[in-house]
Parts: sequence; structure tokens; C-alpha cells
Amino acid sequence: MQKIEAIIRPDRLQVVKTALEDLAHAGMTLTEVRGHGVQRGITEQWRGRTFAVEYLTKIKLEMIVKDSDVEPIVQRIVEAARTGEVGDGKIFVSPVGRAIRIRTGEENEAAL
Amino acid sequence: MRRLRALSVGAAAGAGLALVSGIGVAAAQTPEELQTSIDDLAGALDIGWLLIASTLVLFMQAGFALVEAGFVRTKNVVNILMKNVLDACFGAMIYLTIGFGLAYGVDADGSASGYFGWGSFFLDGFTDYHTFFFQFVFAATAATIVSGAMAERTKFGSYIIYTVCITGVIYPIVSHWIWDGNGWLTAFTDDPMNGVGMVDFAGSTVVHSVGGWAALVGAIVVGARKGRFGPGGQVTAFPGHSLPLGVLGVFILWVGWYGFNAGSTLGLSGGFAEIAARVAVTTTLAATAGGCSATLLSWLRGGKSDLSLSLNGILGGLVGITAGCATVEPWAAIVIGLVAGVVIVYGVALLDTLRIDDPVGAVPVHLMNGVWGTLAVGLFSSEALMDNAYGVTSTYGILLGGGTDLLMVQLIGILAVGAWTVLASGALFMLLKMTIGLRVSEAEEDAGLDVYEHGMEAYPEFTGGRDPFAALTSERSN
Repeated sequence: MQKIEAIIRPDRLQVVKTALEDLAHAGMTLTEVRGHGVQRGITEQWRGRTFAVEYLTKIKLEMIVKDSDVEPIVQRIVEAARTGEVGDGKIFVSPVGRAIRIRTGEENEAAL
Repeated sequence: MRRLRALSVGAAAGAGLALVSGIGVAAAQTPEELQTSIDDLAGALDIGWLLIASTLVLFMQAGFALVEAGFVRTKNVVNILMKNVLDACFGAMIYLTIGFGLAYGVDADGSASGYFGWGSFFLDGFTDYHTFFFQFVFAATAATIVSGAMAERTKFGSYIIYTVCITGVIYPIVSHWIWDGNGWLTAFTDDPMNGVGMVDFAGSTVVHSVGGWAALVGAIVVGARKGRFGPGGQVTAFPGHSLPLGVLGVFILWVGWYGFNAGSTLGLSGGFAEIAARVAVTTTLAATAGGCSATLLSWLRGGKSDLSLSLNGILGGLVGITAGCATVEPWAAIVIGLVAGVVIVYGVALLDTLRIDDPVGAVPVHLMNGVWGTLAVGLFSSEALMDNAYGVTSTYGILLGGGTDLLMVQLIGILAVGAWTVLASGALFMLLKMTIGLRVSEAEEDAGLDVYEHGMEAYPEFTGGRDPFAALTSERSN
């Protein structure tokens, strides 16, 4: 099992969710986060003075998937979330040691 | 049979006579009675206009509240709204008690000192209620200007003491000088200064510069918000939490200003309706010109147009035309507005350079444009309109060939009012600072005034009592 952690633009969330719909996956967890990558944020203004907004709002999408599903899901997310502009986000894939479905007690891939 | 017929004819005749005399009343009145009816109607119309105008000006309190709320951060919104709400409430009480009397009180033979009025305290013996109402709403306007400049760091109790003093003493004295027939600067007397007296139709000096001077002094004495100005000339922006509220507030102020300026004709009959209509036009042109020039200038300077400066530009134009709305031609109103917008943009930048923290731009809008508007009267007032609105033919705008008399009085008035307001409010703010304290503690300023001064938040469901997960708990302790 692998954990896919994707940090994407909030306005791409709907597109990503739709793109993943026909792939049988166990679900996802969404968190609203603030952060920046190499971009270091944007500049805004107030009453003639500019100020830096270094931490922009993004959505973190977490999914635990079977090893065989990792590649198709990652590809779908990349295609749907990409705009080509700085700030599109990143995806991290990491191994998961154990998974449990709370309702039934099923473990690992049976829990997905 | 004959008697019945006579009775019915009599009844018919009687009814007919009653009907004729009912609808024929006009034909039956004497010319004197007709004139009295017309005069009564005209008087009622004048009072009606004042009531409508006063109500519009009172609604400007909502405008001030929303602009100030929109321009401060979420954690301070309740506090600034409280200050605005209580400006009006405590202000009304003190204006009834001593404010109106110091402004317009006269003794038994109708005279008073040139420097202050005395009489009619608690409206004792005074029954022109429409006059009191109109004057009160103007006093409330001057008072509420100050809260914006001192927002986000001023102790609530100290501020209330201050607002009672400005509404009860500082402002009434100024309105006495310029708007009471006994005042030393007034135009409403037989022998005014320089043959004209000070021309401040709706109060660029009387209302706006008084609020503006007090705002400047208050902002300086209470000091800048923590983190605003750093070493080496560094300036940090603290964006307001809601531009929609700010815009709504500005439009409400704009609409209320028609009561403020056009209402200052004090009536509609006897040619004043035409003046009021002209005032509505000059007011509109100055407001819109101010919005245009502030927008364009901030666009040029910053590369992007800035809504917060556009809003201040509109208000600056409105303040700028307030003195001359009845005596300048429409073209001059546009010029006044254009300059006002420029004053706003450079004024805001100047305060930053001087390290004076004014969260809403009260000083550039009300003080700088209050002074500009008053001077503009001496520059642009036309000969015809000075005669039409003030019955003065000896002097008018210097740029139109009217000589220096008018401009000199305007200047004297600006300086006198400035000196009085700065000294009086300065002494008061310093006294408050040294006794009960003017500024909140640093910890309170960091956390926001709402929770410490009032124990409540403006948007509790969004900020969740400063604990982001508090909204998730099913039971909250009180």
C-alpha cells in the first residue's frame, strides 16, 4: 500500500475529483493548508503599500491506495491539477505499513 | 304633502349649501388668510426638508461604522463598532445637556459672546426641535471621525470620555464661531469679518477639520500600532478585513452627504430649493471627481488601481466640496474633487513617511481635504453664487477676480479652528494618557481588542474563540 499526498490549487480540486471518479479507489482525505514552494508567495497591496503574502492556501489530498493503483492515480492527478503556472503543487508517494477498517477490523489491502 | 316637500327641498338646499361652502372655502378666504396658509405650508415644507436631511445625516453614522469596520482587522471589529455606536449615543446625551447650548445658546435679548454660546441647556425654553435635531447629527458626524484614526489600539473607556468632550465642548465652540449669528467668524450677521464672514456652507471646517485635527492629534498621542513602522523607514501594511463593508460604508456616507450639504440650505421655500438642487450637483461632481483622480493616481504610482484609495478619494471629494457646495460653479466642483483625490493619495503616503498611523485615512480625508475645501471657497466661489447664497457682492473667489477678502477670512478661520482643536484635544488626550491611560496593553493589542475589552468576537463561528477547533466541541462553557 502507498500513500499519495498531493498538494494542489484549491480551484483544481473539483477537476481532480472528477478525473479520479472512474478509478476504483478507497476514498480521499482533504485538508486546507497554507504553504509555499520555491515560488515564495505573491505580492498584494493596501493603501499604496505592497506586502508579501508568503503562505498561500492550497488543498492537501491524501489517498491510501494499492501498489498497482499508484501510477494511474498519480497520472490522473498530475493531468487534472496542472495549469502550467508556478504554484501548481507537488505529489509525494510514501509506503504505508498497515491499514485497518474500523467498522469491520479488516486489515491492509482488504481495508481499502 | 306640501310640508314634506318643503322639508325635503329645505334638506336638499341645506346639503347643497354645506357642499358649496365646503369646496368653495378657497373662494371665501381673504387674501391675508390665503397668504397665511401659504406661509404655513412653506414653513412646514422647510421643516420637512430639515427632518429628511437630518435623518440622512444620521444614517451617515452607519456609513462611518461600516467603513471603519471594513478597514480594521477582524479581531478589532467589535471594538470599532462599539466606538461608533456609542459616539452617537453618548454624544446625543451630552449635546442635549451642554453642547447645543454652548453652540447656539443666547440670553434673553438674543445675544451671546463671540466665542461661546450660553443658554438653552437641556433645550430649556427652546422649541425649534428641527434645528436641534439637525445640529445634533452634525455634531455626531464630527465626533465619529476620530475613532477611525485611533482604531485597533485605543482604550474604549478613554475614547468614550474623549468623545463626550468633543461633542459637548470642542465642536460646539467651533460651530458657534462660524454658524451662530453671534460668532466672531460668522457670515450670518450684519457686519461680518471682511464684509463676508467665513463661508463654510455645510462644514468642511466646522465638522470635518475639527474631527480631522482631533484625529491627527489622537493618532499621534496614542502612537502607531505595533509592527506598523520598523527601523530604516520600513512600513508594514495591515489590510482591512472587509472591502465590501468598506464600499457599502462609503456609498452610505455619499448618500447621507446629500442631507449634509443640500440640507444645509435649512429649507426649500423662498428659492432655497434651487440652491439645494445645485448643491446636490456640485456634491456629486466633487465626489466622483475625487474617486476618479485617486484611482488614476494610485494606478500610476502603484501599477495597479487600489480600491481602498479610490474609496478615500470619493470621501475626500465630498469633504472638499462641503464648504463651497453652494458658492462654486459645477466646473469648479470638479476641480475641487480632482485635487481632493490627489491630496488623498499623497496624504496617505505622507502619514506613512511621518510614521503617523491612521488605519482608515481619517486625516487625509477629513483634515487635509477639510482645509482644502475651505480654501477652495476663497479660490473658486463665483460672484453670482456668493450673492445668491450669502447676499455678498463685495468679494468672491480670488481666481475669478474676487479679491483677497474672502480667502483671508477662510485662512483665519482654518488657523483659529486648528489652534483651538489641536490645543483642546491635545490637552485632553495627554491628560487621559497620563491618568487612566489611552492605549491598551501590548498583549491586548496582539490578541485583538474585541475579546479583552468586550468579551465578544465579530465572527465567532469563523474565529472560534481563538481556538480553531473550538467550533467542533458540542458543549461550550460560559
